[in-house]
Amino acid sequence: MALALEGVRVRFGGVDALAGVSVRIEPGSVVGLIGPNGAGKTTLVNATTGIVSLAGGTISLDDVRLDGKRPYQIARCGVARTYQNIRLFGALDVEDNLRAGAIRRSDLNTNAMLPLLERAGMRDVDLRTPAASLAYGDQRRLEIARALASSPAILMLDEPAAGMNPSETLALAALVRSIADDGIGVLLIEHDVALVRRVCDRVTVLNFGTVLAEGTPDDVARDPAVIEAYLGAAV
Amino acid sequence: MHELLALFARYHTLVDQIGINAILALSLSVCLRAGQLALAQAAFMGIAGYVSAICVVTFGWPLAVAAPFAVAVSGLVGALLALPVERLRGVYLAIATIGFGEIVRIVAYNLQITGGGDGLNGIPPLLSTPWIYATLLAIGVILYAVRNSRFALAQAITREDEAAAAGVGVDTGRVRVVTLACAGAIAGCAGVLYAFTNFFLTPSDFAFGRMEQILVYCVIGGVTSPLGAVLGAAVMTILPEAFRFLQNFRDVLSGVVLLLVIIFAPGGIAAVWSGMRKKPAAQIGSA
Repeated sequence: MALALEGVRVRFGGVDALAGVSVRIEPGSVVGLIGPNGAGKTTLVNATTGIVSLAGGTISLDDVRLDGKRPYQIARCGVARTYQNIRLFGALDVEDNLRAGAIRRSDLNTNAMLPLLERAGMRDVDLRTPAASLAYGDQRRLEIARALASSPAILMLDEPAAGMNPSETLALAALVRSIADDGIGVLLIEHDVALVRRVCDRVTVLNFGTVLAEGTPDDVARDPAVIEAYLGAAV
Repeated sequence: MHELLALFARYHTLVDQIGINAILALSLSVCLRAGQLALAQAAFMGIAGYVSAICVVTFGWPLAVAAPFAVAVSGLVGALLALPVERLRGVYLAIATIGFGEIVRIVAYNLQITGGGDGLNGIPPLLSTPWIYATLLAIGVILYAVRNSRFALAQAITREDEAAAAGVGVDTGRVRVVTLACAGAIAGCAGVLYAFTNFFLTPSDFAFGRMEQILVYCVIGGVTSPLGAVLGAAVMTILPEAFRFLQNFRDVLSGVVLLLVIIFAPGGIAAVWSGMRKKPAAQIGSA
């Protein structure tokens, strides 16, 4: 299923956090969303997942309109996400966090959880470990595993590589690509431009709530407006 | 056996109180499991107590019909109460539900059918200790049976992070409504049992003081542990009786115990028990 944002506007008081942003995520593709702090990247994810209301525009998953729906309804339509600041169910253990991700499914048993964790890069993890006591990187990976447990059509990753070392970031890149190879559309918000160029099929650059540039990673990297406003120099 | 029966005959009122208080503590425990500090258990208890007693005494209904009806009414009131307080959390929810409890008490105080401030007298003693403990057991078995259900998980993740719970597809508003309905029904069971084992009801039986006691049972026992709530209710019901020799100062003891638990065992009896069970394994590992 394809996710289409058309002319999305979000206002906070008198400020346009998003001023007519359009983004399309096809099944099996990875779309990177980059931009300076305050550009509106997380607001775009919050708007898509129903946390903030739209002042204009539409959001659709194939023929299903998502704008106006409540967050739980959007999640049930097949949109999963991770958060910039990790939001695991900290007092619950790893198993219950995965069960929570799959709460609308009935086929995720303990046997299916271990491959899911391994896929997210978590090996030799005790399912009974409280999520809050995991290492930071494992918490990020568990959050991705929890999102995958819901069998989403669209996965929105908000800075998943934050706090990861280079080898962990490489593994994350492989994971993101494999998720897309399974037919899931991925939106990747990331400040690590090298990671974005490595895994994304297309990149959208936001600045002050508007789309500054859109295209393949190479096209965007060559765009003079992007170089001037965000990257500072060619990459 | 004879001594045991004599002991029971002497303390049966206390035994009944323990059972009813344990049911009330379970009701609050259900709310706390979903992260809802909804302090309306005393009100739910009063509603079901009055409804069942009025149905039997005034309208001549059989208790077998009046009791489930009263429990259903208190459950429905719980569900309806969840709607206007849907956006309230933490202390704001607590204050709003305490306010609801006061409304129920004042309405009972001013209605003729409830006997007003004099209370409702002449309630036949149709229930006794076995009914109280059979009800407690049934509620305990149901809560145990659903502890790994999707709804129990939805409650737990709603308590942990409501926004993230919605993000995985949980209708947290519905969780709150169903939780308060269940809490209302459970506290309603306590209300019916109280009414038909105590012969009369007055509005002050369901005042804020009782709600305060129910909260203390859960804090002492462990806020999200049903077994802890039952133990907390038992301990805090027995304690003032065991220290009767302190006369007017015996209630101070409850406050001291509460302070000690909050300072030294904030997870309550349930957490202490859980820690003791884990300890042997830790010692083996460290040897």
